[in-house]
Amino acid sequence: MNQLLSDPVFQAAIAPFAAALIAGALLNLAGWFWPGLSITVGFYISTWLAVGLDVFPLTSTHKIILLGVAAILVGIALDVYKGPRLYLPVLLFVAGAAAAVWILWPVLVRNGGLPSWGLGAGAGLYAGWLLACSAGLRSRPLPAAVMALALALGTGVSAVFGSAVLLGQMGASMAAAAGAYILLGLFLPRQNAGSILVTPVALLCALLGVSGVVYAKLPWPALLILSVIPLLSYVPLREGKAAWIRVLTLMLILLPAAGAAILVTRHITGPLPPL
Amino acid sequence: MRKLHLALILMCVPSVSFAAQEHFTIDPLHTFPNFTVNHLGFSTMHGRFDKTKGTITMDKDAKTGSVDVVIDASSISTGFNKRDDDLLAPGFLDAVEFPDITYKSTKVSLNDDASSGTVKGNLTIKGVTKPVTLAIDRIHCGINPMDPKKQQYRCGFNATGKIMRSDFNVKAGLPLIGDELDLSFEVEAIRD
Repeated sequence: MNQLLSDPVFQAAIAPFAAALIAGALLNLAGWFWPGLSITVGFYISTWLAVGLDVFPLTSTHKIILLGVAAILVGIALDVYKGPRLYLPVLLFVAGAAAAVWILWPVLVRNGGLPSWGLGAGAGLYAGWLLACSAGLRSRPLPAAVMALALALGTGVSAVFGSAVLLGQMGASMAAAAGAYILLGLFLPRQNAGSILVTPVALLCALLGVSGVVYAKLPWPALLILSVIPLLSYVPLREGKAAWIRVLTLMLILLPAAGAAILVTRHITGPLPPL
Repeated sequence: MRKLHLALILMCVPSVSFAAQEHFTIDPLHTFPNFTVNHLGFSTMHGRFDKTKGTITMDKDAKTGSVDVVIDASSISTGFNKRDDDLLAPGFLDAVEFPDITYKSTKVSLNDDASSGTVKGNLTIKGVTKPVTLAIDRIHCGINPMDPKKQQYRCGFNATGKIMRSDFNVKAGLPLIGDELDLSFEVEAIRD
């Protein structure tokens, strides 16, 4: 049993998929936007198995764990909020940028200089963009779920190739959980994805991506490719078509994820990183 | 006259103890922290850090001293660059965020002939500080025979110890990649 729990494939794929499947089915009974929480449930189960859920000392990885919880709370607040949403993308952009800068803060301060702060600005832009751009998907469950799948898969695979195995594992776990969410959506009725789904997934993927660039060897152009995924998720879908046809259409969104992974493998010479 | 003698003796006491304490700077070309770790239960993998700096003091008369070492985390070498890149990333050493591994002694005890001893101190990895005791042996000091001027005085010794990497928040790959690390240091230091 211990051997199974410590197996990276089990941690990154099987456990989050199963956890999201069970959580999604149970949360579906609760109604509201709660099923959207199942993807982050998968993420946290995987992270718990891999490195635990400690948040101190405040390393970059621990900050990601902490900010994921904060993003869930923000997502819930946004789903409860019934007022005008005109400025919400701007606020989310600022919050995402601030989160990315906080993750990188020790390095930015230590290195200083224009290149360092330029890197911080780029990271902030990326996180802010993912968060703001994906916010509108909260009312479109299928595109939101496929966006989560593509973004998490692209981030995870790119990070593994970019010598950030742990970050890659964390990204892959969200992709597996998003797969479970999509699978459930084919069989269970669902209202909306909600901000409870898109906000934490977008933020976690953004933070894993920028951490991979700064703390490992993930080339930054990979993030440029991944950044189009939320935009592509707004592709119009014909209503009335079978769910599986719409899922297949949306699988086009996976192309940038594949593109990012290919870019990283071409950027890095030599065999894949071993354990 | 007696007062004068007493004053002279008192003046000599601190200078004698000062003379007994020698200050050294670590020779980075002959100082390497090495480690071994179990790899997936199959083999024992060896690695080392290539860049180390620091200072040592030694008082052979008082059988004590001090050690202050800074290891460049990014200088890890296991003989395979891709694996080294993995070890530098978050989950393992997180070397960009935590570039230094430090060891600062809290108590050094040398045995009677000052050829071995123990060092108690605090090891800091990834911002986590834990007490670690190192066993010291083969302390040897003398003039470096390779020094053309035959003036360079240096000391060398080996140090060994054990740590659990999970204690220092280095948790990736556990338990497949071993938790217990055997440490061994080869150290040479040049007298200032």
